[in-house]
Amino acid sequence: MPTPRKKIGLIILGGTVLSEESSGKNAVISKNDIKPWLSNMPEINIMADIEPVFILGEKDKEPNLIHWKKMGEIIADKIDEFDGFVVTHHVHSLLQASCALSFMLQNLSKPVVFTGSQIPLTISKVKTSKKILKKYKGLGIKANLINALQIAIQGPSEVSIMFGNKLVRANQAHITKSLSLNLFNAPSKATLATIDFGIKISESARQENKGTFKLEALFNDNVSVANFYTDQNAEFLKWVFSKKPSGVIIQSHDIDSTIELLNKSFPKYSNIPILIHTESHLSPNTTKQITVISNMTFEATVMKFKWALGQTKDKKQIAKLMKENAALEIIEEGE
Amino acid sequence: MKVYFFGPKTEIENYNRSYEQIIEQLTKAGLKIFSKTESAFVTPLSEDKITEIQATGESVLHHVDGIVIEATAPDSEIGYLLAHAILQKKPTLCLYQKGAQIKKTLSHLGQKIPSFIIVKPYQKNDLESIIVDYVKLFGIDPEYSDVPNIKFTLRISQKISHYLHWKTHNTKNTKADFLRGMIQDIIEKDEKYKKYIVQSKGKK
Repeated sequence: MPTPRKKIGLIILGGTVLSEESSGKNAVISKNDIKPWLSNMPEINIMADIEPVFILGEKDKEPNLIHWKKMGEIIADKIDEFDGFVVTHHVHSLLQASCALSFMLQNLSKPVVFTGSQIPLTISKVKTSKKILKKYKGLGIKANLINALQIAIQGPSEVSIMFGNKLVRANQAHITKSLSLNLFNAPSKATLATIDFGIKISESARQENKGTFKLEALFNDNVSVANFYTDQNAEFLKWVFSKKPSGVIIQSHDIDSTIELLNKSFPKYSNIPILIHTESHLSPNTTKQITVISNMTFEATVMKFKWALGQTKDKKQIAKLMKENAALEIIEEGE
Repeated sequence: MKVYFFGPKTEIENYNRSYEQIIEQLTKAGLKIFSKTESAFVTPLSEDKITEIQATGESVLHHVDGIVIEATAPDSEIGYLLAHAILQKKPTLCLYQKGAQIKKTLSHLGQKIPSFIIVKPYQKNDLESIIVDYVKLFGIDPEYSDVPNIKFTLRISQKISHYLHWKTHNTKNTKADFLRGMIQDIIEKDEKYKKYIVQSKGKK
């Protein structure tokens, strides 16, 4: 009996530059570019029936929550129609986008794989760039897209990021500091697959189905984010709160001083949920006023906070949501 | 030349023997085989090498010269490997038996199959000649190919026969393998012959 072909939705929000060498349509700038762009990669049609959906082009502004909500709605709408989804995205905001999707798409039953191209549309022709491109073959989207499509076909059913030879859980991923084909990394338990000759799915990727799929696309974007250094003072915090945010995230290494300053100086702002994100694992416990987060990436913390603020206005409930594992975003101890 | 062999695990009990035969023939053609299929002819890839490649972000497929797929049983990995083969322009041999869907799968390419992809139906007795054609894709001059596809009758004495039997008994090599190996060694050490080949190629 013939095996039915898989149907994959390909959602485009930038990140489409094929390679430095491609002639003709090298990237998707407008909707009209999709057909010629896809014709540069006929090999992907062997893998599945691919249906492109255009949201943003290469020259458009950086994607934001409005675009990500639209993407979530498209996926929710077509979840039964497709076997999986691949999202091409500008690399700069890819982590935020994928984190947002991971909270938005609750109990996801199909794979949603983010990928893209590391080559900017206007790559300079200087010697250094040429040298880098020669050394790192595969910075364009082609190989990433083939790998991402295969993940969309075979799983795992969660929001993930595919670059180089590594598939990582989106909401536990961080960007690598050096130039590498593996643009994103994650703790070992959030490394969902590696590629040797084929895709090798890791044990941690096999999650039990948790319940019925639902779209929770309400976010509150009115969040102020501040980096808090030791020399910053009450005036700085006053300025942050003067913007009347729905919530505040403070990135700080010196938690004790930050909490002390907040408690002393701003009791009147106690109605605004305040979150301190730190990388120190020996941070003090959450207080009545302030939630301290040390077991999530910064990108996941920001997106989850915006998402939690969209779900409820109750400060206690928000603090509870921030502490709970909503989409496997909490990094286990020792990772 | 290093080649990756893939045979789907679907209905493996029906195809395992075929996979082994293909791997054996590829090895006899002088290719070094990497595969997830278990066979005595497969070269294991060390963990250290995999770790080294993984750190670069590349696929291990970049480190082989060609791909061979037994595509009779359906598997999504076949399309995946073919897509990478086309992208990386790797000489690829796609073998199939009666009832396979591979031609239909490849028709989705929407254009002519590239010349470096050979798609062939096969039976045990024609495997050897198909593999000879495949080896040509690597640019190996068939005139000086390592593929043992020329029949040669050799009369030997009882003494040599006895020695050959003793030498190859309880080994994986046949008497012919042993003799071929010996002659290969002689060729590799024969500087005069190498010089002759270079000169004769220059005259062509």
